[in-house]
Amino acid sequence: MKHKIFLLLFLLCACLSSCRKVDDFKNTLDALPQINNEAKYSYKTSYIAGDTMTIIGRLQPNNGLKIKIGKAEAPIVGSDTLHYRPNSSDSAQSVLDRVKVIIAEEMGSGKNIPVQITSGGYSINAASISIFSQFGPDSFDRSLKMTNHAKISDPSSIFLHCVNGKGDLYFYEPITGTLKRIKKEGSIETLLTKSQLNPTDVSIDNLVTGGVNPQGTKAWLSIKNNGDYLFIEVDIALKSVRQLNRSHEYAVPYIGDIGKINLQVTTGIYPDADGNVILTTPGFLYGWLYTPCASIAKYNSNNGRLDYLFRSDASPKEIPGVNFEGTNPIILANDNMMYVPTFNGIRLYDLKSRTLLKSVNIQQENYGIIPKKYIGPFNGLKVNFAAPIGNSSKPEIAFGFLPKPNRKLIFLLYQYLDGQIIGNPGKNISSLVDGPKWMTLDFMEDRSYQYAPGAADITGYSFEPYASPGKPSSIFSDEILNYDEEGHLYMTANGRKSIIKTATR
Amino acid sequence: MIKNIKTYHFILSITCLLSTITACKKDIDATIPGNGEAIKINYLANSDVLKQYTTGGVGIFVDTVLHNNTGNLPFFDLTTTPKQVEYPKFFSTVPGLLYINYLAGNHRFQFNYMIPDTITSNFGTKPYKTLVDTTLLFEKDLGSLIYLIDGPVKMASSEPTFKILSIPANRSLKLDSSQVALTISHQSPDTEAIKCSRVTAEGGLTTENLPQKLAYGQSTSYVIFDVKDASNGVIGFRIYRSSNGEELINTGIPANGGHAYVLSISGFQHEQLMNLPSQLNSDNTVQYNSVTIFPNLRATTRQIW
Repeated sequence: MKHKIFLLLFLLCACLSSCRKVDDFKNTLDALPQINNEAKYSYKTSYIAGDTMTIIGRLQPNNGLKIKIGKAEAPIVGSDTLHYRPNSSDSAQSVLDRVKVIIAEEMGSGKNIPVQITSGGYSINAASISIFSQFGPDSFDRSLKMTNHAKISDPSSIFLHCVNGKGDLYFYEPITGTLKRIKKEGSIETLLTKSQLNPTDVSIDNLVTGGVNPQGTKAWLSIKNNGDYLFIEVDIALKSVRQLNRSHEYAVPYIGDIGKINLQVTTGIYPDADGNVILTTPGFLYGWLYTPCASIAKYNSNNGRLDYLFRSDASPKEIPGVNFEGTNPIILANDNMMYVPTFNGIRLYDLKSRTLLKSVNIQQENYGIIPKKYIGPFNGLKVNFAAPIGNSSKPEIAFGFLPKPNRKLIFLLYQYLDGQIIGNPGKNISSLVDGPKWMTLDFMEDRSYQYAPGAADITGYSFEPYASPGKPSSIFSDEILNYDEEGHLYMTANGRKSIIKTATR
Repeated sequence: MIKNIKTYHFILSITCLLSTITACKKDIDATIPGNGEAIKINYLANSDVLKQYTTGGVGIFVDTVLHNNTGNLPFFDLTTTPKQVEYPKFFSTVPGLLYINYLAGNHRFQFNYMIPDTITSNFGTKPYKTLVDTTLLFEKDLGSLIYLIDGPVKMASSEPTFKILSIPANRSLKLDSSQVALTISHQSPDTEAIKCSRVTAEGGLTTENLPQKLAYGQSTSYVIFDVKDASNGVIGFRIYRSSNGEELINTGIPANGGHAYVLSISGFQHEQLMNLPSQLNSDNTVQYNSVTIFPNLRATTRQIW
């Protein structure tokens, strides 16, 4: 019997001492700050400098709470409590602290910024966040207005693709039959006269599209002539023209020496600085034009050979290439980039390796909510593109999509935002989202930022085609043509009746 | 014999217990193969010949009852534009591959060409011809990609052939944000063995960790690259003919840290003439047409995760 009593005593002691240990541990736990990471309560994963970050948990603001984000201590601007029911089937409630801090530039920028919370002498490392600036390295520090750049009266002038960052614009004037250049300061010079452009063996009846290399020394043009398609090379310096290809039909052979194949270039000619010319060619269905850019070809002017890089389901089946999806690609040959708009998204392809680099989706804002979430990481954006992004998106929502090096697209957001989304149709509520804004989509950092602060002053200009109450749409589509060393943008406006550029206010 | 009732009860209960345990064990062994571990499979047709089909589809019959009825049958629909050649695939904004679950172990896969029931429809509903019939063993794993690819070209025959390739989607691979994993898969039937080089950050070429003799139907194990080696966001590769070093393809994968890719070398190098089903005759026989498959040797990347 005696040993049984000893055993009981021993067990009691063990229990008591363990209780004490548990008690100590519970006190420590109680003093430790805790963050509630449930979806409903957790803080966001990324912020823009200036945003308020709300942290919910057991933070004990009166117990010396300090929140350090990145390199700086975050000033606490608000603190209260909320009732928390850990389990919906359980009526038990506890109280959680809710603390608000302002995200500031000096905390750092980029991904994986650490968040450290200290309370009651204990510190924990909370989930790190991303902080982005509202701006990018190429953003202006002042807001932008528009100024007249050059006087071109004929909206049927055809601008040649030349996004070289030097601010010069090249165009073909059908009335005079000349190839002209608008210099950066706005004066217009004739590069090739009608007779120079039309030597005996070439005749420009109908210019379809064209492109100039970034150096401004050579141009390639696609011409429709009595049902034939001509592809010609223009030496701007020597003022000479050479016919590279003349095709009566778009049929086999498609690949090989430029003079021996069949070719039709309908929408795009994008030369790079090394003598490669990226071309888009059409797709036909039962003999009818189905899409103007079904395939993407590369003409190498150094060896005179044409090859296909990409094909789509609408391409003639003999055309090889890596399959791409989408329409109306935006191409910057010198950056090896092709952006293909999809519904509510965009796909990025590398032209050199023919690789799909990434596929980005941007969500729409819900009906009834003013669409203000247009700055920040892509996964948090809500923009009512309402159509594929890019050249086929509605220009009143987003206009331009000028490609810049390092995977950037510049566009004007919400030049006209119809109040229909908040039940006020026919009213331009663009000012409710801080006005029309120059924006950048940055595909390196997967975020959007303001190309210029504040609202863009576009008074007197519209970027077509779009209709709003009292304003019919133009049949001529405007486009952003180039940018210059300061980042100013050059574009057509008012249905190609004006050539304008941005200027700081 | 038994001395008292207590002993009797004791022996009885022990016997009962033992019999239950052994009985249970037998049951488990008999009914659940592969110890009940699940495997995940994603199907993709990466065949230039199948792309030229205009009617019907491919139904994938597997030796499990569950998936072989209409509606649940893994299926490639060849009548839509673009053709639906991946299963499972649903319209979703969530990026990444979807998988169908089976139990681990040996499975027989029968890829059947399915033709319409009536001449008014193009959709394939009844099995017409077996394209591939194969048995594959799947251990417990974290995903497999089954590719239906173009089969070897038969001399003096325009009958198309197909082949099955299984590539592990090795999801247990631990990658940090500076690493990209890649498996290279040779799926071009008329291309001899290939060798690969990678473009270094300095612009040179290296063959480190890359296959130098990868034959048709083979895939490499996952090779891990550092995103630091990328140029303009792309880790570049060159694919050469193994025998004479002739460059066949200039390609690359996105330097997207923490992700894995399959680089498929597919398409024919030479023009092929194939006899392919074109439509259903009114007497429910299949009409064949001679179709040219044009050369389109290329590399395509597919992100696994």
